[in-house]
Amino acid sequence: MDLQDLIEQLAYLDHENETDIAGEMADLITHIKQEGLTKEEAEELLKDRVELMKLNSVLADDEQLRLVEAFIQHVPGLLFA
Amino acid sequence: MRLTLLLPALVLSGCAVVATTTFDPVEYDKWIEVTHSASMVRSMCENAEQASIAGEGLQQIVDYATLYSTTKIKSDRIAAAAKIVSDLTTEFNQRYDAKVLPSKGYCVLKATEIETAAKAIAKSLAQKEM
Repeated sequence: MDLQDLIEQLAYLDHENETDIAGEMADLITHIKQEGLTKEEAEELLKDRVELMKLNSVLADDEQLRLVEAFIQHVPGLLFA
Repeated sequence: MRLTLLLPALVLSGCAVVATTTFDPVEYDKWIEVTHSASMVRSMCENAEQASIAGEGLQQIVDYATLYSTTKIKSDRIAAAAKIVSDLTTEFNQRYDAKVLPSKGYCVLKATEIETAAKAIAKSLAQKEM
């Protein structure tokens, strides 16, 4: 599954579950770019964000969790290519 | 940041778990202190040396709060949340112990995460009063 598919599926699940995970990810990516973080720092903060989402039960189900985890694996490569 | 919008879910679910237990002002104060300390760390991110020192102070405060919450174990969810805040703070300080200091952006984002998570725990604990 490529990044485009992941984004589309994230947006679809957000719509279905009335969540805003895609928006949350977009905000974090924007901050990472603006603040000039290193790849390692970005990976750590992305991982943290998923942990906090799990803690807060924001993710509706396992499918959404797997999708978010797959998505954040793509992000560092995209930002630091 | 949107994190602040997401954390109320913790507050609500924490409520459900602990609604019948008694409000503990000591525990509440400890997490408010963590919130304040994380905010102080964030305000010092411009200066790596100051941020590092403040981070060590934050670690002590988080350790006390985590120990208190995890020892009580009246709410597994609060204990789990405390553990996450503790891990976030440890990671923050490990960055300052490394040869290459973290960026200011990392400092700001990480301290904000710690502050927001600690604030959510405090809010969840405060619900016991209602």
